[in-house]
Amino acid sequence: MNIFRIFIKEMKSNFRDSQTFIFFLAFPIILMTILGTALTNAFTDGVTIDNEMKILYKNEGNKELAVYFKAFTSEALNHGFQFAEENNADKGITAVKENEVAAFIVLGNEGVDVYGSDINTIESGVIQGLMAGFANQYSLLQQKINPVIAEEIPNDFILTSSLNGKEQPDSMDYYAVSMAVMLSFFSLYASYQLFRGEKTLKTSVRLIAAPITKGEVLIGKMAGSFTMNAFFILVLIFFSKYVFGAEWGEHLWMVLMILFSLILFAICLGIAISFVAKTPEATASISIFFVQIACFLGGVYFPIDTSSGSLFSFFASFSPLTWSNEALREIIFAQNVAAGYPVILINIVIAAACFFIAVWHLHRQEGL
Amino acid sequence: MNVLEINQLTKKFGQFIAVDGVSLAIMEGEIFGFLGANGAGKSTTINMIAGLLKISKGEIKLLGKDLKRNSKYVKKNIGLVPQDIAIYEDLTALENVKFFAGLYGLRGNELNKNAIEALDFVGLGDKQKSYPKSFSGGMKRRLNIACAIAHQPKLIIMDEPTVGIDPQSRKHILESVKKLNSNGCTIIYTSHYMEEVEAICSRIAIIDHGKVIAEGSKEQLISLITDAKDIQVEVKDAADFDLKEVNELNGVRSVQTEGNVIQIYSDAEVNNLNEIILHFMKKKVEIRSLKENAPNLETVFLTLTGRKLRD
Amino acid sequence: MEKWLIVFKAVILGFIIIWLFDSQLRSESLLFFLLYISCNLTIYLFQKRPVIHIMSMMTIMLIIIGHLFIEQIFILLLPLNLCEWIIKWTERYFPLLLSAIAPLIFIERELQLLYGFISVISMVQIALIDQYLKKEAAWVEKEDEMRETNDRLTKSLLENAEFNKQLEYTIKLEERNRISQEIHDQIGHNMAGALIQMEAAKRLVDKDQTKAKELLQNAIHISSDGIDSIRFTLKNLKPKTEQIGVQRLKLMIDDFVVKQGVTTHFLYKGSIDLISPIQWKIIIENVKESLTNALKYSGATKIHVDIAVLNKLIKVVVKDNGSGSKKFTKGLGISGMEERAATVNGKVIIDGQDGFSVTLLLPII
Repeated sequence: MNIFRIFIKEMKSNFRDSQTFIFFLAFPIILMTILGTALTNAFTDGVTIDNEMKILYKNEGNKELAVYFKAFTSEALNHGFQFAEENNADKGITAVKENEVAAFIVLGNEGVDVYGSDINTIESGVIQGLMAGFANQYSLLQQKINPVIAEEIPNDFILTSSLNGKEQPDSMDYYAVSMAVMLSFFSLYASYQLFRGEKTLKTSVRLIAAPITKGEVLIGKMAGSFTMNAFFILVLIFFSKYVFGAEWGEHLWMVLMILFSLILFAICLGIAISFVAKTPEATASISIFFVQIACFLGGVYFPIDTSSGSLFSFFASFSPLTWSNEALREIIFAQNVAAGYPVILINIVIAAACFFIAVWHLHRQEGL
Repeated sequence: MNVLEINQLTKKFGQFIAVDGVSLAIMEGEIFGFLGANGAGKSTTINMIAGLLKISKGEIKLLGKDLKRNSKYVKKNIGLVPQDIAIYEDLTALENVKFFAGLYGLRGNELNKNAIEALDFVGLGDKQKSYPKSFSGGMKRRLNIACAIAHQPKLIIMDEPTVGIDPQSRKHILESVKKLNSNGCTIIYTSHYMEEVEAICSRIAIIDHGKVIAEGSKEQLISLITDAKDIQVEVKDAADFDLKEVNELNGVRSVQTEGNVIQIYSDAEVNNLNEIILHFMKKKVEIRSLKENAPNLETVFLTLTGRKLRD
Repeated sequence: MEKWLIVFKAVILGFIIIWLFDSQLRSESLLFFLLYISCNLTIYLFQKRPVIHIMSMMTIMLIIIGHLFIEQIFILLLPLNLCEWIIKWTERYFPLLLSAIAPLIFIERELQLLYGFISVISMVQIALIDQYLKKEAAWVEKEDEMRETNDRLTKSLLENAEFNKQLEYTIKLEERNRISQEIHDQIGHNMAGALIQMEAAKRLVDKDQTKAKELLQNAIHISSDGIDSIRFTLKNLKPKTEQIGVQRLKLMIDDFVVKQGVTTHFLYKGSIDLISPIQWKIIIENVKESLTNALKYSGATKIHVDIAVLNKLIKVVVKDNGSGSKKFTKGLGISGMEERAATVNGKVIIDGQDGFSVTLLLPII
């Protein structure tokens, strides 16, 4: 009950603050509009599949696989994928490195390896999706013959959608996703002030003097912050979907789960920072620094290839936004729902860790 | 009955001892004043009673229940008016009171009724829907009080509730404190305005360097240091004035003249100013000025600690 | 605590060894056991906190590594070590249980039940032991405290009684000295005078009766003067306690000035006869302590000692002009002063803001 009261109070305070709306809604939408329209060319240049995509492959598997693959490639040809056999793996990889072909694929009985082009992530992402689809389809066929093998392969599939080529992200799609990710992470800005705010208003004194526990305050505030940010995310998604026509895929629930787990992560992190940092100034600067770096590395402002192996991409792979961003694109554009689970798990685990830090600090210190 | 019992209460911040073995008993229906300079340990003591600070040593009992073991019960029966104004600017006055009273377990109609009553009580009945942003300092202070009384606590703790406000609001607040008290509330009142404490408190503890150095009613405290007062009467001509007759007056201990000023040294407890004036009038002596130096709490504080209450 | 934990760990270790015996015992497993045992021994052998923490973390890591790369069953050792470590950080048992059970989601299904079981038992065991230890520690501390207080109170009681006795004796002694001095000075002189007069009268009594009478009359006068002065001496020369008190304090201060060369002013006002001997004793001891403190810490060059007897209070202030100190720790000296004052319901206020001042307030009984 007390949690609910605090939650309601938080909602009132949040929704009465017009600055909140500007910051949490207008800013991402404006940014989306600007980046989405200004950078349209940057995306279409590299991504269009008008040009045929050349793919080299090497078959190390059995004959059955080879037969299926043959059938598959002939179908893929209609959609602009050109397959050619290359039995020398080194040559295949060099061809990819020099950007002569889009990808080099090694087919085996255990699975399919895809060596993607490190210049164009989206292209290799498409091929990855394509091959995942192939693997799934193949296992489906296998199931008829040998259910034991098929059992271990996830049942969700399917290759057709990625073969359609329709669901290639254009710049607006890209920025709709990255703005949603950014906005989720912006929850940190709201949450690092949850307790600082009480302190500056001196109302923390009243909260502590009241017969409620610090835990109730913490949970109530987190719930309030979470609901507000979740609301903004929903508005952003529907706005981008119906106004800009951005693509959100068919697994909206999974998309929302990832974004919500990211919100939780950001809220817990923000609270933990506000407890660990001693002064309000330190809290603010750490938070702003952290969010901006994470956004930048997470490919919010422009795409960053995390598989390129450069130092920059190495750092980028540490940004929580990178994981979420990539998982979301997997789900939306490659229908790979399974990509979401590890990201959700990681987000929640880190959130839990931060939460425990916050709880520990709350428990230890006097007052809020 | 004792509402609050404090036993050997101690608070250490690292090596620094902010409150040092304070023992007090506050009875039902009292307005108990904590008098002390800034940093003497008043607020620390209060913050421990209100549960804001952990107790380093000693115990606090409210209505016979130990604070550490029954913290919910104790907190529920205390209303804290913090030293700083502690209200949400983005909630209306009524919403503020309702939110805080709600945390004390009030529900529905009762909550609404009590909140409105509390606002009426502090004279903000017509400002229910206004936001505190538009309030003056005094109004905010009053809202600050309303937020602490809506849940009808047994003990109200007021930590410097009149800091930095206009005389009008101060008067209003002091009157509300008295009214609350006559409604049956026990009140702890801290201030470094000696006049306020003198005016409303039934008992006072003088706190210095974390210790209660003296405790009792105003009269008891004054009698610690002296039982005499000084009356100086300046007359037109004291040359052939009979001092002996003044000496006979009620409570007078000794009389002497210095030029045209007659110094009368008298029992502090006897109110004999009227008699003295009457005597001078009877003798047809023209009084130029009259000054009574009765000791007050400021004197007590100064005498006991060697410092002034406010520097 | 440790004894039971070691037994418990040994039981689990034994269980794992028996479990593994069925399949085969690999050399890596043996290495793991040895490492595990040595890590745990280090924890118990070193009583230093950082070492304990580092070794606890290492043990936990070792178990996880063992679990991942050697045998899965090694994870069964985790809850006990985890609980043992975490209990050092938190007072609550809920996080303890949570952290002991948390790894459950990461381990294989077959082991989950066993792991859950062991973690709950470990947690309960450690919580019980911890509670018991805390209680015991609290009791021991309380007992020590009480014993200390008891000692101190007995001591101060004895001291006070002793002091009273001694004081009484001193007073008697001083009185006796004074009386004998007085008798020697005054009455002895008178008697000698009277004796001479009477001797002369005896010689003159036959020759000149009137002269002899005169001399005798003189002797009578001198004798009656002597009797008067005996009366007077006995009645009035009893020394007063306040004189002794003030005298002693003065002596002590003078001694201090001579020895330390710090200018010290002593002032008293009010009716100091209201100060009782026991209060004098406390005042003198506290002033002495304050003077020593002023000299030791404050670097003062001037010290004021003021005694004021107010209506119902005695106020003694020792104030120096030294550096003072905003934050001082309560040492034995200050505690001693406070305790002495407390025996007669007095208070000590210490202020280090402007020089260092120690104020002693004693109620007049």
